[in-house]
Amino acid sequence: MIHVETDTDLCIASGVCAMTAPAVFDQDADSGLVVLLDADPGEEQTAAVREAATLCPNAVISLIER
Amino acid sequence: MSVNTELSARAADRARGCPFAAAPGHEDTDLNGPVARVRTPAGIDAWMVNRYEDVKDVLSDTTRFSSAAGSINHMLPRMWPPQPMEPGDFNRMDGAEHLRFRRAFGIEIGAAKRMDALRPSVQRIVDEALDAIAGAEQPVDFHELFSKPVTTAVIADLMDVPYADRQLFHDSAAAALDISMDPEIATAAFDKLKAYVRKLLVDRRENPGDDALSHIIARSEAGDRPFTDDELESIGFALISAGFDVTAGMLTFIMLTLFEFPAEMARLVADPSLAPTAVDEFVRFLPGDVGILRQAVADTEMGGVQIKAGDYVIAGIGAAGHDESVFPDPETLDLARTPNSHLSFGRGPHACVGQQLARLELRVALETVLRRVPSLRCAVPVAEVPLRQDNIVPGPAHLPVLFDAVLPVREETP
Repeated sequence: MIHVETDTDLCIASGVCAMTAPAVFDQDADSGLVVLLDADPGEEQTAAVREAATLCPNAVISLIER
Repeated sequence: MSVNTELSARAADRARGCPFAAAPGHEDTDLNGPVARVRTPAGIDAWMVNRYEDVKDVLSDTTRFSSAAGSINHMLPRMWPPQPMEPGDFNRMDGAEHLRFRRAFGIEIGAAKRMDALRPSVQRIVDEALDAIAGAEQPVDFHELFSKPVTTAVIADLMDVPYADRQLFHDSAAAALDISMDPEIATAAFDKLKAYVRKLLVDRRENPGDDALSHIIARSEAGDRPFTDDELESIGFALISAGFDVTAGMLTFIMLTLFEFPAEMARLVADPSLAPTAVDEFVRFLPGDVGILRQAVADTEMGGVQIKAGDYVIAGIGAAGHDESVFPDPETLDLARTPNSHLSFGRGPHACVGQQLARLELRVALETVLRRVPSLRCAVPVAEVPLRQDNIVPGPAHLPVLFDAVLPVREETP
Protein backbone atom coordinates (compact mmCIF):
# COMPACT_ATOMS: atom_id res chain seq x y z
CA MET A 1 0.00 0.00 0.00
CA ILE A 2 1.10 3.56 -0.55
CA HIS A 3 0.24 6.68 1.36
CA VAL A 4 0.10 9.92 -0.63
CA GLU A 5 1.08 13.42 0.54
CA THR A 6 1.07 16.65 -1.41
CA ASP A 7 2.81 19.99 -0.89
CA THR A 8 0.58 22.67 -2.33
CA ASP A 9 3.23 25.36 -1.68
CA LEU A 10 5.15 23.90 -4.61
CA CYS A 11 2.14 23.23 -6.86
CA ILE A 12 2.15 24.99 -10.24
CA ALA A 13 -1.30 23.77 -11.33
CA SER A 14 0.07 21.80 -14.26
CA GLY A 15 -2.83 19.35 -14.10
CA VAL A 16 -0.59 16.36 -14.75
CA CYS A 17 -1.75 14.52 -11.60
CA ALA A 18 -5.47 15.00 -12.27
CA MET A 19 -4.99 13.78 -15.84
CA THR A 20 -2.93 10.75 -14.84
CA ALA A 21 -4.77 9.56 -11.72
CA PRO A 22 -8.16 11.30 -11.64
CA ALA A 23 -9.50 9.01 -8.89
CA VAL A 24 -6.82 10.23 -6.49
CA PHE A 25 -6.07 13.81 -7.55
CA ASP A 26 -8.27 16.74 -8.46
CA GLN A 27 -7.61 20.45 -8.89
CA ASP A 28 -9.15 23.36 -7.05
CA ALA A 29 -11.70 24.90 -9.41
CA ASP A 30 -10.38 28.42 -8.99
CA SER A 31 -6.64 28.10 -8.31
CA GLY A 32 -5.92 24.85 -10.14
CA LEU A 33 -3.83 23.69 -7.17
CA VAL A 34 -3.77 19.99 -6.37
CA VAL A 35 -6.57 18.53 -4.24
CA LEU A 36 -5.86 15.12 -2.75
CA LEU A 37 -9.03 13.03 -3.00
CA ASP A 38 -7.68 9.85 -1.46
CA ALA A 39 -4.51 9.77 0.64
CA ASP A 40 -4.61 5.97 0.93
CA PRO A 41 -5.67 4.73 -2.50
CA GLY A 42 -6.35 1.05 -3.22
CA GLU A 43 -3.92 -1.24 -5.02
CA GLU A 44 -5.70 -0.70 -8.34
CA GLN A 45 -4.59 2.96 -8.23
CA THR A 46 -0.94 2.27 -7.40
CA ALA A 47 0.42 2.34 -10.94
CA ALA A 48 -1.40 5.56 -11.87
CA VAL A 49 -0.38 7.27 -8.62
CA ARG A 50 3.27 6.32 -9.11
CA GLU A 51 3.14 7.70 -12.63
CA ALA A 52 1.53 10.94 -11.43
CA ALA A 53 4.24 11.35 -8.79
CA THR A 54 6.96 10.73 -11.38
CA LEU A 55 5.46 13.10 -13.92
CA CYS A 56 4.56 15.96 -11.55
CA PRO A 57 6.77 18.78 -12.81
CA ASN A 58 7.57 20.26 -9.43
CA ALA A 59 7.77 17.14 -7.24
CA VAL A 60 4.65 18.10 -5.28
CA ILE A 61 3.58 14.48 -4.64
CA SER A 62 5.35 12.27 -2.10
CA LEU A 63 4.65 8.55 -1.77
CA ILE A 64 5.20 6.67 1.46
CA GLU A 65 5.40 2.90 1.10
CA ARG A 66 3.49 0.95 3.72
CA MET B 1 16.58 23.38 -49.09
CA SER B 2 16.35 19.61 -48.77
CA VAL B 3 18.20 17.42 -46.34
CA ASN B 4 18.67 13.90 -47.64
CA THR B 5 19.18 11.85 -44.55
CA GLU B 6 16.77 9.59 -42.78
CA LEU B 7 14.38 11.38 -40.49
CA SER B 8 15.05 9.05 -37.58
CA ALA B 9 18.80 9.53 -37.90
CA ARG B 10 18.29 13.27 -38.01
CA ALA B 11 16.10 13.03 -34.93
CA ALA B 12 18.77 11.23 -32.98
CA ASP B 13 21.53 13.60 -34.13
CA ARG B 14 19.57 16.62 -33.17
CA ALA B 15 18.72 15.13 -29.80
CA ARG B 16 22.37 14.56 -29.04
CA GLY B 17 23.74 18.05 -28.87
CA CYS B 18 23.48 19.66 -32.28
CA PRO B 19 23.49 22.63 -33.07
CA PHE B 20 26.30 23.44 -30.67
CA ALA B 21 30.03 23.49 -31.26
CA ALA B 22 32.75 22.62 -28.76
CA ALA B 23 33.82 25.69 -26.80
CA PRO B 24 37.33 27.01 -27.49
CA GLY B 25 39.87 24.98 -25.51
CA HIS B 26 37.50 22.03 -25.42
CA GLU B 27 37.86 20.84 -29.01
CA ASP B 28 38.17 17.24 -27.87
CA THR B 29 34.92 17.37 -25.88
CA ASP B 30 32.38 14.70 -26.76
CA LEU B 31 29.21 16.58 -27.62
CA ASN B 32 27.27 13.37 -27.02
CA GLY B 33 28.92 12.73 -23.67
CA PRO B 34 27.31 13.20 -20.27
CA VAL B 35 28.56 16.81 -19.93
CA ALA B 36 30.08 18.78 -22.81
CA ARG B 37 31.59 22.26 -22.90
CA VAL B 38 29.84 24.00 -25.79
CA ARG B 39 29.60 27.36 -27.52
CA THR B 40 26.04 28.23 -28.54
CA PRO B 41 24.83 30.11 -31.63
CA ALA B 42 24.45 33.24 -29.48
CA GLY B 43 28.16 32.90 -28.60
CA ILE B 44 27.98 31.93 -24.96
CA ASP B 45 29.99 29.09 -23.46
CA ALA B 46 27.98 26.64 -21.40
CA TRP B 47 27.95 23.15 -19.90
CA MET B 48 25.57 20.96 -21.88
CA VAL B 49 24.22 18.10 -19.78
CA ASN B 50 22.76 15.14 -21.66
CA ARG B 51 21.89 12.41 -19.16
CA TYR B 52 18.28 12.07 -18.08
CA GLU B 53 18.88 12.38 -14.34
CA ASP B 54 21.19 15.37 -14.76
CA VAL B 55 18.76 17.18 -17.08
CA LYS B 56 15.93 16.60 -14.63
CA ASP B 57 18.15 17.86 -11.81
CA VAL B 58 19.10 21.08 -13.66
CA LEU B 59 15.47 21.86 -14.42
CA SER B 60 14.11 20.93 -10.98
CA ASP B 61 16.68 22.03 -8.42
CA THR B 62 16.15 25.76 -8.10
CA THR B 63 18.56 25.98 -5.17
CA ARG B 64 21.41 25.27 -7.62
CA PHE B 65 20.10 26.59 -10.94
CA SER B 66 18.40 29.90 -11.75
CA SER B 67 16.14 30.75 -14.70
CA ALA B 68 17.24 34.39 -14.80
CA ALA B 69 19.23 34.07 -18.04
CA GLY B 70 16.10 33.06 -20.00
CA SER B 71 15.22 29.64 -21.42
CA ILE B 72 16.37 29.95 -25.04
CA ASN B 73 18.57 33.05 -25.03
CA HIS B 74 21.61 30.89 -25.76
CA MET B 75 20.16 30.54 -29.26
CA LEU B 76 19.34 34.17 -30.03
CA PRO B 77 22.28 36.47 -30.73
CA ARG B 78 19.93 39.47 -30.52
CA MET B 79 18.93 38.47 -26.98
CA TRP B 80 22.46 38.02 -25.66
CA PRO B 81 23.75 39.45 -23.41
CA PRO B 82 20.33 39.26 -21.77
CA GLN B 83 18.13 42.28 -22.07
CA PRO B 84 17.27 43.99 -18.80
CA MET B 85 14.35 42.21 -17.17
CA GLU B 86 11.05 43.80 -18.12
CA PRO B 87 8.02 43.93 -15.81
CA GLY B 88 6.27 40.60 -15.98
CA ASP B 89 9.18 38.76 -17.61
CA PHE B 90 8.13 35.70 -15.60
CA ASN B 91 10.02 33.29 -17.79
CA ARG B 92 13.20 34.59 -16.17
CA MET B 93 11.94 34.74 -12.58
CA ASP B 94 12.69 32.31 -9.79
CA GLY B 95 10.85 31.25 -6.65
CA ALA B 96 7.80 33.02 -5.24
CA GLU B 97 8.07 35.87 -7.73
CA HIS B 98 7.61 33.39 -10.57
CA LEU B 99 4.86 31.40 -8.81
CA ARG B 100 2.75 34.55 -8.53
CA PHE B 101 2.55 34.64 -12.32
CA ARG B 102 2.45 30.95 -12.97
CA ARG B 103 -0.54 30.44 -10.72
CA ALA B 104 -2.42 33.34 -12.25
CA PHE B 105 -2.59 31.84 -15.71
CA GLY B 106 -1.60 28.19 -15.33
CA ILE B 107 -5.14 27.11 -14.57
CA GLU B 108 -6.45 28.70 -17.77
CA ILE B 109 -4.55 26.24 -19.93
CA GLY B 110 -3.52 23.59 -17.43
CA ALA B 111 -6.52 22.31 -15.55
CA ALA B 112 -7.86 18.88 -16.43
CA LYS B 113 -11.47 20.05 -16.33
CA ARG B 114 -10.76 23.08 -18.53
CA MET B 115 -9.29 20.71 -21.08
CA ASP B 116 -12.44 18.55 -21.03
CA ALA B 117 -14.51 21.68 -21.60
CA LEU B 118 -12.25 22.77 -24.46
CA ARG B 119 -12.30 19.45 -26.31
CA PRO B 120 -15.50 20.09 -28.33
CA SER B 121 -14.19 23.39 -29.67
CA VAL B 122 -10.83 21.84 -30.57
CA GLN B 123 -12.73 19.07 -32.38
CA ARG B 124 -14.83 21.64 -34.26
CA ILE B 125 -11.73 23.61 -35.28
CA VAL B 126 -9.99 20.46 -36.54
CA ASP B 127 -13.06 19.36 -38.49
CA GLU B 128 -13.49 22.79 -40.07
CA ALA B 129 -9.83 22.85 -41.13
CA LEU B 130 -10.24 19.44 -42.80
CA ASP B 131 -13.43 20.61 -44.54
CA ALA B 132 -11.47 23.60 -45.83
CA ILE B 133 -8.64 21.55 -47.34
CA ALA B 134 -11.08 19.06 -48.91
CA GLY B 135 -11.66 21.37 -51.84
CA ALA B 136 -8.19 22.90 -52.07
CA GLU B 137 -5.91 22.32 -55.01
CA GLN B 138 -3.51 19.43 -54.42
CA PRO B 139 -0.83 18.96 -53.28
CA VAL B 140 -1.93 20.74 -50.12
CA ASP B 141 0.68 22.14 -47.72
CA PHE B 142 -0.37 20.38 -44.53
CA HIS B 143 1.64 22.81 -42.39
CA GLU B 144 0.22 26.06 -43.81
CA LEU B 145 -3.32 24.86 -44.44
CA PHE B 146 -3.91 22.54 -41.50
CA SER B 147 -1.40 22.71 -38.60
CA LYS B 148 -1.07 26.48 -38.42
CA PRO B 149 -4.78 27.32 -38.83
CA VAL B 150 -5.77 24.71 -36.22
CA THR B 151 -3.33 25.73 -33.49
CA THR B 152 -3.85 29.45 -34.15
CA ALA B 153 -7.64 29.09 -34.02
CA VAL B 154 -7.45 27.23 -30.70
CA ILE B 155 -5.49 30.02 -29.04
CA ALA B 156 -7.74 32.67 -30.62
CA ASP B 157 -10.72 30.78 -29.25
CA LEU B 158 -9.23 30.53 -25.77
CA MET B 159 -8.46 34.26 -25.70
CA ASP B 160 -11.66 35.14 -27.57
CA VAL B 161 -9.80 37.22 -30.15
CA PRO B 162 -10.59 37.26 -33.87
CA TYR B 163 -8.83 34.62 -35.95
CA ALA B 164 -8.56 37.35 -38.59
CA ASP B 165 -5.83 38.99 -36.46
CA ARG B 166 -3.66 35.90 -36.84
CA GLN B 167 -0.91 37.61 -38.86
CA LEU B 168 0.01 39.66 -35.78
CA PHE B 169 0.35 36.45 -33.72
CA HIS B 170 2.31 34.68 -36.45
CA ASP B 171 4.75 37.58 -36.85
CA SER B 172 5.38 37.67 -33.12
CA ALA B 173 5.92 33.90 -32.87
CA ALA B 174 8.34 34.06 -35.80
CA ALA B 175 10.23 36.89 -34.08
CA ALA B 176 10.55 34.80 -30.93
CA LEU B 177 11.83 31.66 -32.65
CA ASP B 178 13.76 32.72 -35.75
CA ILE B 179 17.47 32.65 -35.00
CA SER B 180 18.56 34.92 -37.84
CA MET B 181 15.81 37.55 -37.78
CA ASP B 182 16.90 41.19 -37.87
CA PRO B 183 16.56 42.62 -34.33
CA GLU B 184 14.60 45.66 -35.55
CA ILE B 185 12.05 43.53 -37.37
CA ALA B 186 11.71 41.29 -34.33
CA THR B 187 11.19 44.26 -32.00
CA ALA B 188 8.60 45.77 -34.33
CA ALA B 189 6.64 42.49 -34.36
CA PHE B 190 6.71 42.29 -30.56
CA ASP B 191 5.66 45.94 -30.20
CA LYS B 192 2.66 45.46 -32.47
CA LEU B 193 1.41 42.50 -30.47
CA LYS B 194 1.99 44.33 -27.17
CA ALA B 195 -0.09 47.28 -28.39
CA TYR B 196 -2.81 44.82 -29.41
CA VAL B 197 -2.77 43.24 -25.94
CA ARG B 198 -3.02 46.72 -24.33
CA LYS B 199 -6.22 47.41 -26.24
CA LEU B 200 -7.49 43.98 -25.30
CA LEU B 201 -6.88 44.72 -21.60
CA VAL B 202 -8.88 47.93 -21.71
CA ASP B 203 -11.67 46.17 -23.56
CA ARG B 204 -11.77 43.17 -21.18
CA ARG B 205 -11.91 45.43 -18.12
CA GLU B 206 -14.96 47.18 -19.55
CA ASN B 207 -16.59 44.09 -21.04
CA PRO B 208 -15.39 41.01 -19.19
CA GLY B 209 -16.12 37.77 -21.00
CA ASP B 210 -15.62 34.06 -20.47
CA ASP B 211 -12.09 34.02 -21.84
CA ALA B 212 -8.65 33.40 -20.33
CA LEU B 213 -7.63 37.06 -20.11
CA SER B 214 -10.91 38.15 -18.48
CA HIS B 215 -10.54 35.36 -15.92
CA ILE B 216 -6.97 36.40 -15.13
CA ILE B 217 -7.90 40.06 -14.72
CA ALA B 218 -10.80 39.16 -12.40
CA ARG B 219 -8.66 36.80 -10.31
CA SER B 220 -5.87 39.36 -10.12
CA GLU B 221 -8.14 42.17 -8.96
CA ALA B 222 -9.63 39.95 -6.27
CA GLY B 223 -6.18 38.99 -4.95
CA ASP B 224 -3.73 40.51 -2.43
CA ARG B 225 -1.30 41.86 -4.99
CA PRO B 226 -3.08 42.64 -8.26
CA PHE B 227 -1.00 42.65 -11.43
CA THR B 228 -0.04 46.01 -12.90
CA ASP B 229 -1.02 46.72 -16.50
CA ASP B 230 2.58 46.09 -17.58
CA GLU B 231 2.47 42.69 -15.91
CA LEU B 232 -0.91 41.84 -17.43
CA GLU B 233 0.42 42.86 -20.81
CA SER B 234 3.24 40.34 -20.42
CA ILE B 235 0.82 37.59 -19.47
CA GLY B 236 -1.52 38.30 -22.39
CA PHE B 237 1.42 38.60 -24.76
CA ALA B 238 2.80 35.25 -23.64
CA LEU B 239 -0.56 33.51 -23.87
CA ILE B 240 -1.14 34.72 -27.41
CA SER B 241 2.34 34.35 -28.86
CA ALA B 242 3.69 31.25 -27.13
CA GLY B 243 2.80 27.76 -28.05
CA PHE B 244 0.70 27.69 -31.17
CA ASP B 245 3.66 27.84 -33.56
CA VAL B 246 5.57 25.18 -31.65
CA THR B 247 2.48 22.96 -31.54
CA ALA B 248 1.86 23.47 -35.26
CA GLY B 249 5.47 22.51 -36.00
CA MET B 250 5.10 19.36 -33.90
CA LEU B 251 1.83 18.42 -35.59
CA THR B 252 3.41 18.67 -39.04
CA PHE B 253 6.50 16.80 -37.84
CA ILE B 254 4.27 14.02 -36.46
CA MET B 255 2.53 13.66 -39.83
CA LEU B 256 5.86 13.46 -41.66
CA THR B 257 7.08 10.85 -39.18
CA LEU B 258 3.98 8.72 -39.76
CA PHE B 259 4.75 8.83 -43.48
CA GLU B 260 8.25 7.57 -42.72
CA PHE B 261 7.02 4.79 -40.42
CA PRO B 262 3.98 3.30 -42.22
CA ALA B 263 3.82 0.32 -39.84
CA GLU B 264 3.36 2.65 -36.85
CA MET B 265 0.79 4.63 -38.86
CA ALA B 266 -1.15 1.43 -39.62
CA ARG B 267 -1.03 0.54 -35.94
CA LEU B 268 -2.53 3.90 -34.98
CA VAL B 269 -5.21 3.67 -37.66
CA ALA B 270 -6.15 0.19 -36.42
CA ASP B 271 -6.25 1.34 -32.79
CA PRO B 272 -7.02 5.06 -32.41
CA SER B 273 -7.07 4.62 -28.62
CA LEU B 274 -3.26 4.72 -28.86
CA ALA B 275 -3.38 8.47 -29.63
CA PRO B 276 -2.51 9.61 -26.07
CA THR B 277 0.63 7.44 -25.72
CA ALA B 278 1.48 8.12 -29.37
CA VAL B 279 1.55 11.88 -28.81
CA ASP B 280 3.94 11.60 -25.86
CA GLU B 281 6.12 9.18 -27.81
CA PHE B 282 6.41 11.62 -30.73
CA VAL B 283 7.25 14.41 -28.32
CA ARG B 284 9.97 12.21 -26.76
CA PHE B 285 11.32 10.83 -30.03
CA LEU B 286 11.37 13.86 -32.30
CA PRO B 287 13.96 16.60 -31.92
CA GLY B 288 11.83 19.43 -30.58
CA ASP B 289 14.25 21.53 -28.63
CA VAL B 290 17.66 23.15 -28.43
CA GLY B 291 18.00 22.68 -24.70
CA ILE B 292 16.91 24.94 -21.89
CA LEU B 293 19.32 27.52 -20.50
CA ARG B 294 19.98 27.82 -16.78
CA GLN B 295 22.67 29.49 -14.69
CA ALA B 296 24.34 27.82 -11.70
CA VAL B 297 23.90 29.82 -8.49
CA ALA B 298 26.17 27.57 -6.41
CA ASP B 299 29.30 25.56 -7.10
CA THR B 300 28.22 22.06 -8.01
CA GLU B 301 29.40 18.87 -9.66
CA MET B 302 27.72 17.02 -12.49
CA GLY B 303 28.94 13.94 -14.34
CA GLY B 304 32.41 14.40 -12.88
CA VAL B 305 32.63 18.03 -14.03
CA GLN B 306 33.00 20.95 -11.63
CA ILE B 307 30.43 23.65 -12.40
CA LYS B 308 31.01 27.03 -10.78
CA ALA B 309 28.42 29.51 -9.57
CA GLY B 310 27.71 31.82 -12.50
CA ASP B 311 28.38 29.18 -15.17
CA TYR B 312 25.72 28.64 -17.83
CA VAL B 313 24.22 25.19 -18.08
CA ILE B 314 22.07 23.81 -20.90
CA ALA B 315 19.60 21.06 -20.02
CA GLY B 316 19.67 18.74 -23.04
CA ILE B 317 16.03 17.70 -23.04
CA GLY B 318 16.22 15.95 -26.41
CA ALA B 319 19.24 13.87 -25.42
CA ALA B 320 17.54 12.98 -22.12
CA GLY B 321 14.63 11.51 -24.09
CA HIS B 322 17.06 9.15 -25.79
CA ASP B 323 18.83 8.04 -22.58
CA GLU B 324 18.77 4.25 -22.78
CA SER B 325 19.00 3.87 -19.02
CA VAL B 326 15.47 5.33 -18.82
CA PHE B 327 13.94 4.53 -22.24
CA PRO B 328 14.54 0.95 -23.42
CA ASP B 329 15.47 0.88 -27.10
CA PRO B 330 15.31 4.68 -27.32
CA GLU B 331 15.82 4.95 -31.10
CA THR B 332 12.68 2.90 -31.73
CA LEU B 333 9.43 4.81 -32.20
CA ASP B 334 6.88 2.84 -30.14
CA LEU B 335 3.48 4.52 -30.15
CA ALA B 336 2.36 2.41 -27.18
CA ARG B 337 5.43 3.24 -25.04
CA THR B 338 4.51 3.43 -21.38
CA PRO B 339 5.60 4.67 -18.96
CA ASN B 340 7.06 7.61 -20.84
CA SER B 341 8.36 10.23 -18.46
CA HIS B 342 10.20 12.26 -21.09
CA LEU B 343 11.36 15.76 -20.24
CA SER B 344 10.31 17.37 -23.51
CA PHE B 345 7.77 19.60 -21.77
CA GLY B 346 10.39 20.42 -19.14
CA ARG B 347 10.30 19.83 -15.39
CA GLY B 348 10.39 21.99 -12.30
CA PRO B 349 8.49 25.23 -11.75
CA HIS B 350 8.93 26.36 -15.37
CA ALA B 351 7.65 23.13 -16.97
CA CYS B 352 5.60 23.94 -20.09
CA VAL B 353 2.39 25.57 -18.92
CA GLY B 354 0.65 24.71 -22.18
CA GLN B 355 1.50 21.01 -22.18
CA GLN B 356 -2.05 19.79 -21.54
CA LEU B 357 -3.42 22.06 -24.24
CA ALA B 358 -0.74 20.87 -26.66
CA ARG B 359 -1.55 17.22 -25.87
CA LEU B 360 -5.25 17.86 -26.39
CA GLU B 361 -4.70 19.54 -29.77
CA LEU B 362 -2.26 16.91 -31.00
CA ARG B 363 -4.46 14.00 -29.91
CA VAL B 364 -7.64 15.36 -31.47
CA ALA B 365 -5.86 16.38 -34.68
CA LEU B 366 -4.13 13.02 -35.03
CA GLU B 367 -7.25 10.94 -34.37
CA THR B 368 -9.37 13.04 -36.68
CA VAL B 369 -6.94 13.26 -39.59
CA LEU B 370 -6.37 9.50 -39.63
CA ARG B 371 -10.11 8.81 -39.43
CA ARG B 372 -11.34 11.37 -41.96
CA VAL B 373 -8.45 11.27 -44.44
CA PRO B 374 -7.31 7.62 -44.57
CA SER B 375 -5.83 8.16 -48.04
CA LEU B 376 -3.47 10.93 -46.84
CA ARG B 377 0.04 10.52 -48.23
CA CYS B 378 3.20 12.54 -48.74
CA ALA B 379 3.34 14.16 -52.21
CA VAL B 380 7.14 13.85 -52.41
CA PRO B 381 9.65 11.32 -51.03
CA VAL B 382 9.96 11.86 -47.27
CA ALA B 383 13.67 12.69 -47.53
CA GLU B 384 12.85 15.61 -49.85
CA VAL B 385 10.53 17.38 -47.45
CA PRO B 386 12.20 20.72 -46.63
CA LEU B 387 13.14 21.26 -43.00
CA ARG B 388 13.17 24.58 -41.17
CA GLN B 389 16.68 26.00 -41.12
CA ASP B 390 16.61 29.12 -38.95
CA ASN B 391 13.89 28.28 -36.48
CA ILE B 392 14.72 27.21 -32.95
CA VAL B 393 12.08 24.51 -33.23
CA PRO B 394 13.05 21.86 -35.76
CA GLY B 395 10.52 20.38 -38.13
CA PRO B 396 9.29 20.53 -41.73
CA ALA B 397 9.04 24.00 -43.28
CA HIS B 398 6.28 22.65 -45.55
CA LEU B 399 4.61 19.28 -45.96
CA PRO B 400 2.99 18.70 -49.36
CA VAL B 401 0.28 16.04 -49.13
CA LEU B 402 -2.16 14.29 -51.45
CA PHE B 403 -5.44 12.52 -50.67
CA ASP B 404 -8.40 10.97 -52.47
CA ALA B 405 -11.15 12.39 -50.27
CA VAL B 406 -11.92 13.95 -46.91
CA LEU B 407 -14.65 11.82 -45.30
CA PRO B 408 -17.58 13.51 -43.58
CA VAL B 409 -17.56 14.31 -39.87
CA ARG B 410 -18.61 11.23 -37.94
CA GLU B 411 -22.27 11.29 -36.97
CA GLU B 412 -22.62 11.38 -33.21
CA THR B 413 -24.97 8.67 -31.93
CA PRO B 414 -27.63 10.22 -29.73
